[in-house]
Amino acid sequence: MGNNQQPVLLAAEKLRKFYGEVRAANDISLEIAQGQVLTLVGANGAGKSTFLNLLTGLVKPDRGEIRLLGKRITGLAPEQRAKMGIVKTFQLEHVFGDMTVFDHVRTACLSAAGKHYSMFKDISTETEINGQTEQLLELFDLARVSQSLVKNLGHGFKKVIDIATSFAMKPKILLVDEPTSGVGEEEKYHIMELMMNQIRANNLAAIIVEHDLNLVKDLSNETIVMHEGEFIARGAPGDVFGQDKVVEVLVGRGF
Amino acid sequence: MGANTRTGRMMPSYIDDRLIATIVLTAIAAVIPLFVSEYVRTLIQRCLLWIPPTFGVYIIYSLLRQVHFAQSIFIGLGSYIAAFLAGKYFVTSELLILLPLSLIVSIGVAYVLGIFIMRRTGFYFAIMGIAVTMAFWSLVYKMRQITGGSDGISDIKNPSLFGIQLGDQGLYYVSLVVSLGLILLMRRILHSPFSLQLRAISGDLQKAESIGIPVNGMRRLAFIVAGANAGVAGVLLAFSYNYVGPTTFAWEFGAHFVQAAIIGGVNYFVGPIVGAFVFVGLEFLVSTWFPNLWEVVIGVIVAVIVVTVGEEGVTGIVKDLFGRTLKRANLEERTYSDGK
Amino acid sequence: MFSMGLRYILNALPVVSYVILLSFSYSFLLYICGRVSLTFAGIYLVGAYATVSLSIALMGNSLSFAGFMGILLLASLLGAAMLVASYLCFERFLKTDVHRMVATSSLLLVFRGLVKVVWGTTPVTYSAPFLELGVSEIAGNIVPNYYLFMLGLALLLMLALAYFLNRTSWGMRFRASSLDGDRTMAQACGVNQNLVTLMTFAISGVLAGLAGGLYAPIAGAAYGSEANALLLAALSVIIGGVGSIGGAVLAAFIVGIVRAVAAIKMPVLELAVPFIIASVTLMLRPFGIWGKEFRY
Ligand SMILES: Nc1ncnc2c1ncn2[C@@H]1O[C@H](COP(=O)(O)OP(=O)(O)O)[C@@H](O)[C@H]1O
Ligand SMILES: [Mg+2]
Repeated sequence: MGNNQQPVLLAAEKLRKFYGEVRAANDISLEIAQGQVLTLVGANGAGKSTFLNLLTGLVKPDRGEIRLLGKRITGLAPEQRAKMGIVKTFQLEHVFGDMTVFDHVRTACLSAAGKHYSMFKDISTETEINGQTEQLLELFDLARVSQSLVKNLGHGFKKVIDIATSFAMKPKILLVDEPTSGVGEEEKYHIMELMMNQIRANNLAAIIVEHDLNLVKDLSNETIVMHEGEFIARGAPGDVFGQDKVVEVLVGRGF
Repeated sequence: MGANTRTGRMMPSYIDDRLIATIVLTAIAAVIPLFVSEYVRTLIQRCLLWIPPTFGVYIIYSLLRQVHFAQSIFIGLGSYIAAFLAGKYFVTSELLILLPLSLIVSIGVAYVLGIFIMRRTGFYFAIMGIAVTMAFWSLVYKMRQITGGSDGISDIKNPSLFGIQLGDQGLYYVSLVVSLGLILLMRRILHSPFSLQLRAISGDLQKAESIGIPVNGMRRLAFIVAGANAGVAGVLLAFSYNYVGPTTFAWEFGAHFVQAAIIGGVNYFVGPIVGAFVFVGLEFLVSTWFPNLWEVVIGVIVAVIVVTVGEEGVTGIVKDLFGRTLKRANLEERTYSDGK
Repeated sequence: MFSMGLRYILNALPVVSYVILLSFSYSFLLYICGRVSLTFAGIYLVGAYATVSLSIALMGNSLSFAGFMGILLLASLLGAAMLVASYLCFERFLKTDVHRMVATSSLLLVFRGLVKVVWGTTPVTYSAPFLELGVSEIAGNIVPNYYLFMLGLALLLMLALAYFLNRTSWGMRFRASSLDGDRTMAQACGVNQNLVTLMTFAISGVLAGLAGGLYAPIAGAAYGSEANALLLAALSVIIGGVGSIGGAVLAAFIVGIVRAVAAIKMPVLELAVPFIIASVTLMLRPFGIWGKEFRY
């Protein structure tokens, strides 16, 4: 499966998370190597977001293990995992609305450089950080709005800002939760293209949750179908989407 | 943040206006004791000393969106350190010892308390802050032999600096310098990487965590910064009042700094300065005529300000009235604009 | 040993009872309306002063217990009226939690200041109801009957509220609007939000006013006692959990008894002990002993 010649970057073993009766993650296992891009599809409530949150530590598993490069990280806090290279973008709007776009991305650059407690230094003298930020804004086509307040920008912009901010963390693996949900058709392809270019350029591993099956076919040659907290199918999008059980869970639910 | 910090480019030209305003105000504060009565000077001195603790509340409010009711603890610690060492058990009245000592004690206590009360945010933090002030209050109130109980410690002689005994005027200038120094330090801190990341925490907690910001540690450090300001001011306040009592630890005293910050306007860097002057001035004016009513009057003012202008405070109201002139002085140096 | 423990518990009963009422007054607002409000401590203070003043003015030395009950009822209604007025004139304009905490803490200081203007700072007492009821003996300990009356009344009210919330159709509407439920859904189903909010404030006011009035014959009405009340009630909510009636009762017992023990064994730590319990609770159970995980 996938790039077997590469060493495993991130491994999940029998992750389980139940919310009362709801099985959001039911003993899920997955291995992903550097440079490997997986897509994750499934109806609403299948547990996709929960799975990504388990990997980042925003949700604590009931049981199971998570390893990064063979090291157990199950108990680590989200901020520690982010430092180690597991970074997630959000399905819903999670942005610092009262910041300018520049500050928004700069925050993550500072964080990646470990400058949390630097109190007595004027931020404008952090030339290296500011340079990095400007570069990232260029890459993600955000330079022209760099001084706008994030909350005043449209939904599509916020998604791109979220992604750019995640890249500022210099991730090893990027977890992308529905980057195009609520975004118009045209913007959608633009956002995906910006993101995929960077993922490929940096040879990152990525798990991308996406609803648009046509997009999924373009993104990667390996997709996983999720249903009621379990992976029910895996393989090339063309093959997988033809299977009856997949059609049933994806289409049967008004997907 | 100022426009200069956003782009990382050179300071914009209006910095000069701001610099001039600062120099003029400082000069006024420096020469005013030569022209006014001793009483008025003491009042201004108190305003000056109210600024640092109010800045503490301001930092927690504007960067973290939390309400810090516990500043009275650090004022109290500083005050009692001064009262013990320079008054009751006369050891030393050297400010070069008292101020750093109070700073260290405040930092230590804030570090320990932060572990407990900065665990949760919102009303948990506010209530735990009130609770811990009351715990200190009862401690001081009941350790009668050491603290003098409800009588407190009075008759605290003026301190010395570099071994030179300070007069009342000297104490005024020390207060001015300390307060000004802390204001400048706070300005630097507000433009630092630290502040930007604190704003991320209050902006969106999950996103902040997911970009590796150590939320708890940074919150605690902000609490320490706030407490350290109050601790330093507490020493000088004890000398200014010549008296320290357990009411220094009372929760309403801590709430007064929140009120001062709100009156000044937490959207503006000058807010705490304006707030300290307005609060202490109002307290003085109202209690001259109606001794029992000043808390009522200030309480009503704060309530009305919160409902009508929120975080804008007096500074925001004045800015609206004289918009253009003040814009040139760049008073609207926002640290945080509220989304409402 | 056992009897010593019982002694402490019996002595702590008045504090336990008023903290039950007062902490639920605070947590009820928080739970049903999602509103933080520190005004309740001011209502508590006014309730205490109103009870004592009314008792002295109306009954003087000729106490009838029925008359005292009537006055307690008046104090509760006064509390409800004040809190509802505070909501209508003021608190409903507060949009965020931070605003609410700042503004209602100021409002509490206003109430305090007004009490000082009206009644001064010397405590007033009226202990006739307390003396009138006499004492009984429990396992060798003398207990004033008034203590038992207080606890009984507090527990009865909590039971009544639990019944109201869980068994009646109006209670369903309250819970539908609460942090547990879904406000927009409740609205869509025709639950009148304004009415629910008003009634919540009224109930909260009744509890706060009653807490003040009920405790007044023992401790008197004292300027400054609102701080203690605020502290014990709010910490009990942190310990017991927001919106939980069982949690309010349990936490009131814990806080009341431990504080009573501390007041005798280590007086200097009397108020530090409740804080320490709350800290430990937050570490072990961030949402309180009986609390559910809410947005707070
Ligand atoms: N915090 C939570 N509390 C209770 N149930 C939850 C929580 N988060 C998610 N769930 C439930 O878990 C299931 C999976 O949710 P989610 O992972 O968001 O699905 P997806 O992202 O695939 O749409 C859903 O049924 C959802 O209702
Ligand atoms: Mg999802």
